[in-house]
Amino acid sequence: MTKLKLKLKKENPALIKKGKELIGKIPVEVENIRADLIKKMTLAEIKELEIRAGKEIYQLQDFFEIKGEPAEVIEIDGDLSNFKYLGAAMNSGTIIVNGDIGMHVGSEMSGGKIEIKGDAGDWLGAEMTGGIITVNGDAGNYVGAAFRGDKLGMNRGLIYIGGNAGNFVANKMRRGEIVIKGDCGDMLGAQMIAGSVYVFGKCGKRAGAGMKRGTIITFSDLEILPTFSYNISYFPNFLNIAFKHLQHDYQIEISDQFFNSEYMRYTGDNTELGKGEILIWKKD
Amino acid sequence: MLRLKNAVIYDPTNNKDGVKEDIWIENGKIAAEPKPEVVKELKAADDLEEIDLNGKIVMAGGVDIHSHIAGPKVNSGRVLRPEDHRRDNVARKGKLRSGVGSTVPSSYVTGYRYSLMGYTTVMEAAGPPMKAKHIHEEFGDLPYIDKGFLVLSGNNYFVLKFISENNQQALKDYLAWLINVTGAFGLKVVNPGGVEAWKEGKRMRGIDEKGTHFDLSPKEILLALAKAADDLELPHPIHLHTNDLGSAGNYKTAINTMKLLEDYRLHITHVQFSSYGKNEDSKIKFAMATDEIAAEINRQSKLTVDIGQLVFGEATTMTADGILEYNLHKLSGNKWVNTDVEMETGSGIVPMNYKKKNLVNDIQWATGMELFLKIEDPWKVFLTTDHPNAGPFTAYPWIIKLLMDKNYRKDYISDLNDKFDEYTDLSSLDREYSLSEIAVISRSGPAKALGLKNKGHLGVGADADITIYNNIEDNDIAEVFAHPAYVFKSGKMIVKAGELLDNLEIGKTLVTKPEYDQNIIELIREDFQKYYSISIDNYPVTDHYYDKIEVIPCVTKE
Repeated sequence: MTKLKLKLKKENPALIKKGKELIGKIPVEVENIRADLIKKMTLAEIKELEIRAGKEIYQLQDFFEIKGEPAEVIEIDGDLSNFKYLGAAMNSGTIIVNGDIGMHVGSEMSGGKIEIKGDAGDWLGAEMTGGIITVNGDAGNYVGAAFRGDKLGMNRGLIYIGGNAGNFVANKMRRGEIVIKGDCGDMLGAQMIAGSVYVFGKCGKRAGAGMKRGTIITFSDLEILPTFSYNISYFPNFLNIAFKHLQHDYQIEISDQFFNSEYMRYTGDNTELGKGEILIWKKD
Repeated sequence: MLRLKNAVIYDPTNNKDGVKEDIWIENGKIAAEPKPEVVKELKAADDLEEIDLNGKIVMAGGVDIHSHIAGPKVNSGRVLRPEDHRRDNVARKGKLRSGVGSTVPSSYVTGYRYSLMGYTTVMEAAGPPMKAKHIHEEFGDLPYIDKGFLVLSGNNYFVLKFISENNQQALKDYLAWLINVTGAFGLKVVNPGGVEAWKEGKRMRGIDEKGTHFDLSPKEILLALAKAADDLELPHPIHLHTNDLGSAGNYKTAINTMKLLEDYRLHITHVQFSSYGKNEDSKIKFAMATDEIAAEINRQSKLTVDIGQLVFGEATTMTADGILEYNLHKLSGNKWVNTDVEMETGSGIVPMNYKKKNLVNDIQWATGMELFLKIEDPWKVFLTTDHPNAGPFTAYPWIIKLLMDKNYRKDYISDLNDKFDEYTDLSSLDREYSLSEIAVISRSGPAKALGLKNKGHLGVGADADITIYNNIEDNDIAEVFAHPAYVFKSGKMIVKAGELLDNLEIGKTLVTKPEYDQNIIELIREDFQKYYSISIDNYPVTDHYYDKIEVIPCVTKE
């Protein structure tokens, strides 16, 4: 398979130096690195792709060593923790990042796949409407959330986080799935409208605050808000189907002990519509 | 001197309907044609600039009689809606500063977009007196256009107090003092008595009910204010947002108000929101009453209205009518800001999205269009969208196209709800506006209603605010009105070929200075010091808040 390989240059315009010492990095906006656009370009065009760093406009070749050929698959090496909007609004193709990445990865994307081998910043997959994002490391706050003031967050698609996630995961989420293997911060699924979130580690405070509909599934104890009602302890069959779907469609490992198991069901948030549910796995 | 050659002039004030003439500009004003020998001298001295317009359409710069462009309410709208700006960024260009657009643009972008559309004078429709300083500060950052603001006075403590005491002289003096110290241009009256009732936790309907602290009906407040405005000879009469605005069946209140104030000068604003009927048999209970409203407006001689035409898509409703915004918030479930401005007024903001397939929104849209077409005299009806309440001002070119082209209107209706024709009779209206009538509703009429003698026309002595459009024969009408070929402001070119030149300038602030008896300050001092959070001595807007100012004289009688 053909690939476009980008390697972050050791010396690049985003580095702020005092003498020889690195004292900071300017944020770089790379919404133009999109697999669906790049596959249609010539190599010469790709080299001159517009990249903004601070108030200056640069070219892709100022930041990256470019190898390979225009392709649907882009592989990027380096520490991109000050790079924002990678793959934003992308609709097809694959981006693989061998390292950390900054904010807004895959925000508003509608299709394709983004694989982050390291950590990701805030607003991962915010307002995405399709496609897959996987992060092997940790993710920041506002995963799959709505941007400030907007009504709808993530609307279709899947976000998988191998490590931990920050606060406000799935804030105002409308549709789709978020799977977090590690822990997550406070306000999980706050103002959630619909969709499913699986958290295999621990959850922070006020999970489901203000949720209208949607499902939060957790596998460890959770501090339930007083505005949620306890319904029942039961063996939800739909979870078996959902787990199998995650295993087969996205190759996500799910331990056997969670299948055919008992879960406690809470509904809320009763200050809102009250049709949201929190399912908590009962350890035997 | 500047000469615009071969212009085709549409200037209804001076009865010019497509007349081919030259326009001469000197010192920011329109000048008479100089004698041939003077022209020769000017040419010899290289002091005459000539632009050949080649038969392009020339009108005076647009005048918007009602738009929310500056002040605390607009600013809260900006803060409330980060999502409104996110996708609409305007980058810095030369001397032009950056900003954001969409339904509540930043002050600079508001100025840019009005100018790009050929509008040169805009009236900010509602300012709480206490926040007048904020308004003037924003005016200082609102480029190109001339602007003024109308000060809210329909629910003011002192206004209600003097009316309840039957002290018309004190009311007159107070209003004149208020206009002077706030640097306002006129009086805005929003749901008189109703906002006060809402602040007291009560609800009043119609214009006859009493029951608030001062025990006044809206009727009494309206009569006293209309009389005071006439006695002060303010250039612009009271600018009224009627009671019961926005609710089904409110057309009766609107007609009662029009009849009540028949003997006074009156401008009713965004009358579209006041022209709804109620049909108990229909599922939506919502109907239009454009026949009744248009008939009353046609019958009266002094009354003027602006429409507040609904535009489909995103809007941000903002008004001093606190209770209306509360209702909208409950109805739509959208986020809401509510403010109680101490002794003076209420306020609220709720974002809205008007949808083409929503029957109620369709009826609202048709109500505006039908009023435009059913009110016979264009000098009585003006083009507004009550920006940003019914839609952004950037939709004006599209509304002009709807008014000028009945086929486009019919095409557009076919996209709306299937039941549209059962509730409206817009499809049966064949009237099309002429260019001259468009010039009336978008500049000459509003300028006349505002009492701005130097605006809205191209006669000698008028401000050289001039907009030059391409021909409508070869171009799409909406495109023509959205992107003028040239725009001149005070004789200086600010737009060329649809682009702003980067000579950033701040326009004038229009104010009036009605006379009053100084004793009024001592009369209100005690209550003021007792109940206001600021001292009366810190209340007036001081001169350094103004950049360039033009005082419009208080003379209405010829």
